Amino acid sequence: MSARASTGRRRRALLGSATDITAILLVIVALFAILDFDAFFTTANLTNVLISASLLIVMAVGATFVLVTGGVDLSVGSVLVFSGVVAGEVMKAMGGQGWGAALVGVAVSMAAGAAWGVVNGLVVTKLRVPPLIATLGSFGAAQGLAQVITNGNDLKDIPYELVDTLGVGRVAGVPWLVVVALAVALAGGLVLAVTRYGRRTYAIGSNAEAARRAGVSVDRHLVSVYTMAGLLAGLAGIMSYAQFGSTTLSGHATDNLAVIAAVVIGGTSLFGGVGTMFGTLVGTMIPAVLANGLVIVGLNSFWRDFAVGVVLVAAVYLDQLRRRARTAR
Amino acid sequence: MRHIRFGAAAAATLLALSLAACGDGSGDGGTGSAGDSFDIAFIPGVANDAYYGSVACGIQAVAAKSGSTVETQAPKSFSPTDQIPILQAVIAKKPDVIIIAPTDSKALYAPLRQATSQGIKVVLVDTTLEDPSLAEAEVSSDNVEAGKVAAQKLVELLGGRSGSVLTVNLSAGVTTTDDREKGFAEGLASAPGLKYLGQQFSNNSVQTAASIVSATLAANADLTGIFSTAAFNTEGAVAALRSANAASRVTIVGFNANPPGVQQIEDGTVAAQVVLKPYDEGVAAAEQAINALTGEPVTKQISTGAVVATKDNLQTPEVQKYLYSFDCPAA
Repeated sequence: MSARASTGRRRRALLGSATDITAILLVIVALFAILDFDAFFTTANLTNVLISASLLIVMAVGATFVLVTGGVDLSVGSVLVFSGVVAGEVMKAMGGQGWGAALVGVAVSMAAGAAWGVVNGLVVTKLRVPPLIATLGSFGAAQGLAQVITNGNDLKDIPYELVDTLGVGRVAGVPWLVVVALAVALAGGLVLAVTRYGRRTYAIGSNAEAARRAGVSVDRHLVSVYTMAGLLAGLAGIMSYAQFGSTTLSGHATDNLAVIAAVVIGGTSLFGGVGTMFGTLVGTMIPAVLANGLVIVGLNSFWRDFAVGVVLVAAVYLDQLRRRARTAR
Repeated sequence: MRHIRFGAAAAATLLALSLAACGDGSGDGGTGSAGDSFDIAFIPGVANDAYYGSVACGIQAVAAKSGSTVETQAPKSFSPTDQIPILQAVIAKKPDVIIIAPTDSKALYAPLRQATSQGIKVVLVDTTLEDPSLAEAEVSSDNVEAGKVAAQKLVELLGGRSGSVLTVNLSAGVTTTDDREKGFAEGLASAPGLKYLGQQFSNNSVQTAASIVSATLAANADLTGIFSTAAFNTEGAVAALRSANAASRVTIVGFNANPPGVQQIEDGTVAAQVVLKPYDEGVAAAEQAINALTGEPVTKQISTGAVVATKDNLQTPEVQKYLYSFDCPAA
């Protein structure tokens, strides 16, 4: 027992709670590679998978922090759309083209997202509204405002500078969207794993009262976590606008659930206190790989929803087992 | 113990996956027999819509003649965010031609460019792109004309009654439904005694459509006609009229020849449904696709018309043929 437990512990130090799910991802990739190697296992196709996951990765990084504190953020998809719309209007007002407009657009989008994050954080901490309800409220409010601003019409004029770089451009063969997503994940992972900010996030999720007694300003920390989640949704907003060349008002209605599913599949506990950024990355890749691979092997992509559902429940079941094992120890 | 449980969970996941993988046994085993048979990929705008079912039937009918295979992959919502990943996976399979109903006139341009740069031909069906030059052909319904036909039918059905008329539209910026409203407004302009209230957008939600109609009824007691440009809107309008007890004095012209839409005509809750010709669209798209692949001359732009179904003509063959369905008519 002790020998196995110690290798298990070492392995967990590396991958955290994501060990099992990483194995599942590798098996899924191997399965598709066996079924249709030529179409699935090419650089071009795997790059496509990463592109289609990049928006969710950026939002899932923020959601990992939120879930680790024991909270939840349902507003991300709407905040994404709202931020893209606000940035679009500002860029339009600046003449619509040029590097100036493009850079201001990126900044405005992130600021608009962060603003919703501040609202979420304040409603949760100061008004004591449960995160589920607070962010469900802003989910509706942000989507509604985005439609009010645009009158329901998707904005479509975005600076070519932004489309050619962030939208479809590549650095050394890697799409900008993927570079940004992985950079955000790396930065988020480091902050969560090795900084005092990360340790405080875990501490609040494990036991907020204990953290408060230990001198952590819990409310301020929570506001900052929701703000970061909003800011990243804003970043995803400008990425989405650049990628699709359209604000896709109706295209992100279920992003929030997809993000939460990805984070939870990746081993982050809904009860807070547990989770790794690597797990989140894996959890985001599983639905993306399934969506791509199932089409390639000639199956209807609806099977993805079914398979993701099974993986989600399996992941939470494993989480429960882990908790039971920990309390038994 | 933990490992055993993990094994069980992992096994369940894999079982689910392999079940999924076995679900479709047919695969593409029988392809590549004759020299001029092709792999055709069809990507509709959204799944579970009988309209695209009829388009697929038309494509299938043409493909069968040359022994070509058709594989349909549909996004779960009418949105580029769902459609583009599917398109990219389809491109990875390198079919000979992709027939697609783009869900956004701009967002689909770059990914389709990717397809053509790999030598895959592209044919646009039903919806189109802002810059359709990359496509071999574009086939669409003349929605302005269909809107006009709807207006004429409504005027005929009202038979000289006066009052207000409302359009319940889908979402702003959808070219097809915008065109329907445009044609309808033009067609109604010449009708005496009818006051056009303009359009309201439901964003394809039954609840929103219902609340739009209730509010309009409250504000305009003389509401006498409703033009609904899409299925959910019609269902919302019917529900709102029923709960306001106004079904008998308001005439609805819908835009849905799906099975539920046909049911509405039979029930009498909807007086008429405009019927586009998706089957013809599918046939035309597949014909042009095969022309492009075999080097025959291609017609760049094709537009198909509309008929109006009412209780009186519902059973006639020329209407029956065009009702939207996943069950293809016998060839």
